[in-house]
Amino acid sequence: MAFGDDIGPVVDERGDALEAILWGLVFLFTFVLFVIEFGNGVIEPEEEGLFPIATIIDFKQTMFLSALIGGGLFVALIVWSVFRYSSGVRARASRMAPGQGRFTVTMFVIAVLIIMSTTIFTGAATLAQTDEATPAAAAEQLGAGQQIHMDVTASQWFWRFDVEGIPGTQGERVVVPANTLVVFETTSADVIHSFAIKELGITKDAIPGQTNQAWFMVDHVEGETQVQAGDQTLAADRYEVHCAELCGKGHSKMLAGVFVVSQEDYETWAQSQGGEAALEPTGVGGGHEDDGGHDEGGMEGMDMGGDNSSDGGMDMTPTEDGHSEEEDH
Amino acid sequence: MSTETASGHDEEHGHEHEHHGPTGWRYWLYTTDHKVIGIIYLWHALFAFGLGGLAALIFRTDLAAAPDLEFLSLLGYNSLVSVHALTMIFFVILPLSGAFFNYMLPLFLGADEMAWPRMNALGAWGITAGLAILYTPMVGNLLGLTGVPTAAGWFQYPPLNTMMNSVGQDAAIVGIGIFAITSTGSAANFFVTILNERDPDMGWMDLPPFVWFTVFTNVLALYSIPWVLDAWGMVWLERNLSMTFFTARAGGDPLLYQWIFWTFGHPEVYVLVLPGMGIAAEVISRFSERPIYGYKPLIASVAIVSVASMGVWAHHMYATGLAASRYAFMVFSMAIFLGFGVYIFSMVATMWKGRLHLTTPMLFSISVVVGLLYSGMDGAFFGQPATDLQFHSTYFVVGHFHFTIVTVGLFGLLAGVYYWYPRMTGRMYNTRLAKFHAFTTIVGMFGLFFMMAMLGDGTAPGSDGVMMMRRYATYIYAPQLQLGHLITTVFAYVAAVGQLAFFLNMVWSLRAGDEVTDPWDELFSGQNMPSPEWDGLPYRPPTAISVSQAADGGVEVGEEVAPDGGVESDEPRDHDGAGDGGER
Repeated sequence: MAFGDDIGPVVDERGDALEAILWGLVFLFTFVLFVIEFGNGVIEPEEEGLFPIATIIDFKQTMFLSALIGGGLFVALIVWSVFRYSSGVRARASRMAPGQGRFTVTMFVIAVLIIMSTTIFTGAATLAQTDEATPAAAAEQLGAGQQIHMDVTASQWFWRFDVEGIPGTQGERVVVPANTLVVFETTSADVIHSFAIKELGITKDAIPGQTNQAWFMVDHVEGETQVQAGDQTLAADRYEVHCAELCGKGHSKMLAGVFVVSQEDYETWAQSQGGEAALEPTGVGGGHEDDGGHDEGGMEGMDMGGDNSSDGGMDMTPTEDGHSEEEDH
Repeated sequence: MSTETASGHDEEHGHEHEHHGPTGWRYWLYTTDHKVIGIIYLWHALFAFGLGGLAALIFRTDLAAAPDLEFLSLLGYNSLVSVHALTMIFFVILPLSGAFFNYMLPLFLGADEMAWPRMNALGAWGITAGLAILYTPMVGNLLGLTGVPTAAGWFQYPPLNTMMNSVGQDAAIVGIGIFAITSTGSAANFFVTILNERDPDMGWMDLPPFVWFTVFTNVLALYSIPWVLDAWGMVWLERNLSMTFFTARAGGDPLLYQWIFWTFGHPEVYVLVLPGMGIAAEVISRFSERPIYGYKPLIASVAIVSVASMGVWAHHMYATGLAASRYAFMVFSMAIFLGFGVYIFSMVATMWKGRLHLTTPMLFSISVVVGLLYSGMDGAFFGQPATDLQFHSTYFVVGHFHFTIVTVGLFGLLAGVYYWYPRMTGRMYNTRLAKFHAFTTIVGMFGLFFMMAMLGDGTAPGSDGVMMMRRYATYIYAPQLQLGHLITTVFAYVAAVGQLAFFLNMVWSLRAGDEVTDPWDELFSGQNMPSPEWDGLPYRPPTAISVSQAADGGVEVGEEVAPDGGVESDEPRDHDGAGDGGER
């Protein structure tokens, strides 16, 4: 009983105001973390000009905002309950009126249903514009005049990129043009991998015996790194490629880089590799094609991408556009 | 399993049944008594909790030490993560909830035993067998005799796990397989006990929320566990008898596995969280001195999440190349919000304007509701295919499911451990150690999983917008994430210190704790807030009227109250005017 003698009452509460304040602060801590976690998502910077991430982030911010308000409200109510309604600061509980719950629970259910269906419709629209569209619909939406094809093959533990028009296979890095819809097919030679470029909002499993297609587009080059084409140095941006499915011991080192250069520079680079820039027209109106070659500051490109993803996104009915695009071809 | 438990139990046992069985180790091994089996479950769970937690601390430390590996190998890291996950999912949460199902169900229902006592005993020893088989390669590897334990993750995707040439793979499949078989029997047992062994006077709408949550837990277990046996059975056949199910080049389909496995995987998550949520509902109601706010909507909400959980499995597979079916799975996944939303609403409304007794079980129960809010709001991003494109396989997932399984599932069960410890042992736990445990666990675990979510969202301090990828032994692609990992690991150690206090408390209090029968009696005196496992039968659930009358001093505890009790209330009458007295 040595331990038990000096612990005072057996009942596991102090029942004073200090207790309410101390534990209130502990739950306030969880509330603060909640606000930081979800608030950070609301103020996440836009990624204009990057597809599909720009479209996803628009939706993501809405989701974070609803989570912050809806969830935060209830965490706040809990924290308040601990401060205000603890046994140390309150003589007795308020009585519950019979049948009191019926009205409020119904109201709550209606509120949840409204929020739920809003999320469902916005989420479906976002999916329709990004991963579930066809490449042609995506090109239409983005105003991309040209596209290029790439095969991505995963194996333990490296990536192989076969880009149309470029002889040979690229490994640790792959060079692709800006302002061009990059359409890729991915598969695996052994176990399941997943081709992920988180900065662009791409995650597509590479599965043996199956080919998955997806596409992305970067419409400006900021020149934060370089690509060497023969004796020329080209301005490029690097996007990290991850493997996003556990694939064995080398999983975390199965990395690669997608280097985006301007369309002009891409031609230079392709020639230095002894190939050609195999850009195909997507059939989308030519107005934007000319912008592609010369992105000095990237500002022009960014504006363009931003405008297109917002108004193109809202007005478009993706499936219909997708079909008409395919018929045009 | 210490001798203290045996003696502590014997005392209690003595004045309930006459006991003529064997003594010593045979007492434990041969028992079919639901209380003894419950305690066997409990010690297994606590033992495995220590093992799984230790594994987590080791690789957590490794992650914080350097962006590249420090003291684990690449394979060793994967292996330790896999073992941590399998241990926590199968051998901690399930046995811990099983401990309460075993011990408490007959007390709640007024039954003298479980429906099938021998099946029950089988369930207990299935845990031992599974745990021993899972950990044998770990011991073997440390002695240099075998390869590492399974390194293919808890989800065990083929062809990775069929290609891994290690005894650890088979050990994991067989160990969990044996446990899964015995668990299916136990789930049937729990369900049938509630169905058939109930006191004749106890109607379905009289059942305390814990019993209702147990019903749904075990229905989901019965539905889901056979799927994992199918999936892993096929993997075992492929590994050992050269059959082909999942190998693409031999005509199999690797995705087939995922369809089967996640049909198990999602309901399984609800098997993990529902018992904790049920205990939290019990505790929050009693320790707020108020009946459950919206009892029937609460039960309906559990029914909704249970049904919905069977239809959302493919949201784990959005990246596998699914096309239009994602719209359907997105709608089902969002529907889950309705169920959990009503639970949260009901719990907050129960606490609101109540009188909260901030005891250790209550603190953990309040954390369950907070944790559910975190978990649900994080989870929304994985129910939505569009946001899943970005968050899939980042630490945001890791944060999300830890919030789900730990802050909801485990915290609820910890609340149960403290709430029922005096009932199970006849002794009170040390309240200071318990409060220390609650403090470090709430601060440590919430901080830990918050940091995981921040790492995954690219918003951790110093991360520069780079997302931490899940299942990564190294993060050489972004060494700046080290600061985030360091903070995460500090929180992990805070939580770990608390768990040490917890183990110490559990063992020490068996001998040194004050002898008590019902430590909560004093808190609830003068209130009509009975619970059958403490106050016995006959039991009538507390209602708005019975609680009010008791507060006026008019009614004895446990006495039945006329439905039209006609009590004055300082709350406004029901807003819709339909004053049904029996409504809670």
